[in-house]
This record gives sequence, C-alpha cells and structure tokens, in this order.
Amino acid sequence: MMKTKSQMPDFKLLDLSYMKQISRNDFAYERAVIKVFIQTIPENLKELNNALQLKSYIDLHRIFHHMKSSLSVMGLDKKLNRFFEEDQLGKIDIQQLKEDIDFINAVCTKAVDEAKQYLKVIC
Amino acid sequence: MNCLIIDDNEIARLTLAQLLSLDSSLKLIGECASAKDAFVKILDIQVDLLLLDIEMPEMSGIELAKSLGDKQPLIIFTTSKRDYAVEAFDLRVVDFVTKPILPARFLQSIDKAKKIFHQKDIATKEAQDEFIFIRDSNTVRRIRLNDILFLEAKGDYVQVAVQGKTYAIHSSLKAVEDKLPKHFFIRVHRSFIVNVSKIDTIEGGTLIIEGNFVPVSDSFRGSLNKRIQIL
Repeated sequence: MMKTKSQMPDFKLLDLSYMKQISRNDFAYERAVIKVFIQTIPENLKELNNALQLKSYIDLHRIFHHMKSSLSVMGLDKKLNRFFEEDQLGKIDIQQLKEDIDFINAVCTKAVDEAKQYLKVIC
Repeated sequence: MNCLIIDDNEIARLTLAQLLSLDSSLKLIGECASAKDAFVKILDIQVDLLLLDIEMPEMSGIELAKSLGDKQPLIIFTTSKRDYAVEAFDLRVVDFVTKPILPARFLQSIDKAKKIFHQKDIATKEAQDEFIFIRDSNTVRRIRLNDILFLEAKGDYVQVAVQGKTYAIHSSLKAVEDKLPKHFFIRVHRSFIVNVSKIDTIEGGTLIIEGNFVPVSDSFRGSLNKRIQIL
C-alpha cells in the first residue's frame, strides 16, 4: 500500500531522505531497517554507557564505529557525527566524554521514539 | 555476478542488499556479519564480488582481503572511514566507497566491477580454450594449456604433468618452452616450467602446485616474483 506524504510524522531528529532514496518506496526494506534500528540502538546505548563506566576506550571506539552506519541511514549523522570522531576519543577528558555520551543518549532515545511512530505509519 | 555482503552492522547489510537490487545482473548469494564467516563461505561457494566493510571485530575487511590471496574475488570496500583508502587501494580492489553510499556512486562502482569481471571472464575462457598437441609414444594428444600443471626435463624427454597424469615428449625443455605461450608459463628452474595460474603456494625455494613440489632456482626467482606480483 502506498503511503502519502501527509501521513509522515513531523520528525525533529530523523531525516529519512537517504533511506527513502534507497528504498524507492520499498516498504519491506524500510520496515526491516526501522525494526533493527529500534531494537539495536538502545542496546548500543547500554553498551556505550557500560564502556564509559569502565573507561574502555577500545569498546567506545568499537561501539561508536558500529553505531555510525545505523545513524547515517536514519539521517542522524549530521547531528551526531562530531561526537563520533573515534580518533579524538583518547584526547577528550572523561567529564567531556560523559557529557557527549549523555547527549548521544538523549538524541538517540528520542530518535528511536520517532522511528516507532514511523513504523506505525508503514506497517 | 554473484555478490556477497560482509558487514557487522545489520542496517548496513540491509541497505547494501537494497542497493544491489538496482542492477538485475547482480545476484545476492549471501550476507555475513563477520570476516571470519565470510572467509569460510568464499572458499565454499563461487563468489564474484565482495561488498566488504573494513572495520569489523576480530578480523578486518583488509585482513580478509589479504588472507584470500589468489582466491580473492573482486572487492568493493564499503566503510564509514576514509582513513583506510590508501591501504585498501594497495590491495588492488575495484573501489572504495564511504557510507552512506548514494545510489549513483554505488552504480559507478558496480560498473567498474562489471568491466573487470567481463575482462577476467574473457581471459579465463580464452585460457580454457587454448590447447597444444603433443606426441606421447605413438599417440598424438590434444592437451588444454589450462590443464597443464608443470613440465619437467628428464634426460632426452620432457614430462608434462596434468592433473593425475603425466605424458612424455621426446624433446628438450628449451624447445618446448619456445612453443608455449609466455602468458601462461614461466621457467622457474633449469629443469622446470610451470603454469603460473596453477601455483598454490611458494615456500622458500619451492612451489607447490596441486600437491607437487617444484624447485625454484635463484637465477629464476627474480622473474617469478616480478611475474606473480607478490603484495
């Protein structure tokens, strides 16, 4: 079933223009991507918080890198990329890193809520 | 072309699969979440093109490409970091694209891969079709050049080794060498000529070709190294 633009929620964070360009109205693809996003991002955030507590820069680097691919498909890269500079990880003090990860948490949690709204539209 | 996607991120795999559907000549034959899984799969099935992420846990895409050696299919590296570009291109891959990958950029890489694939395909078919006739005792036999593993001088004869068999030609190795196409064969020893495409491994001064040990002499080592372009 084709979805009309008027049914699209008004997103504050997500920018689905890239995903739309790839999907070419293939809603099966969009549903699959959104479901994985909703499932994996909270897991990634949990891992990120654990790695921060342990001050494990290796894990932070790995999780940042892993999240980048998911975030870029959902159009969050422009908002968050500056926090995902893996090479800068060791140069940032821990307090600043904590603040950055809090911000990433807040943005990604809200983005997951928006993704859930969109999933309702395309299901 | 049979394509395999290798990426530890599921959204990236879904997106690459969707991009592959833009070209009906591409067939997605599998997806792997790790380079280790892919390594096993590539040895098991016919893969023509890898869409290969670079930064993955345990084994990176670059390590996978290096470990495949001569069995390496065509590779398009897909990554979110540009830092690996130089190292990746040193591996003679088709292309290096950064995520998020736009459809036009993706199709550009696919066009490059298809051109290389068709060139290789033609070369392989030509190689498979070329043949020579040899006189073995009282019989004249047709042997496909691609079936010959190596040739060995033995007294007044040259022994031609093909899979599971050998034939003897009454001739000198030099006379046979002059008649063989240079793009297939190379002299590696006073008494040995090998089919370059059949070399499995080189260990010190010895080549291994389908379980046969062939010595490499110092005087021919330079031309062999130049010919096989070791990375």
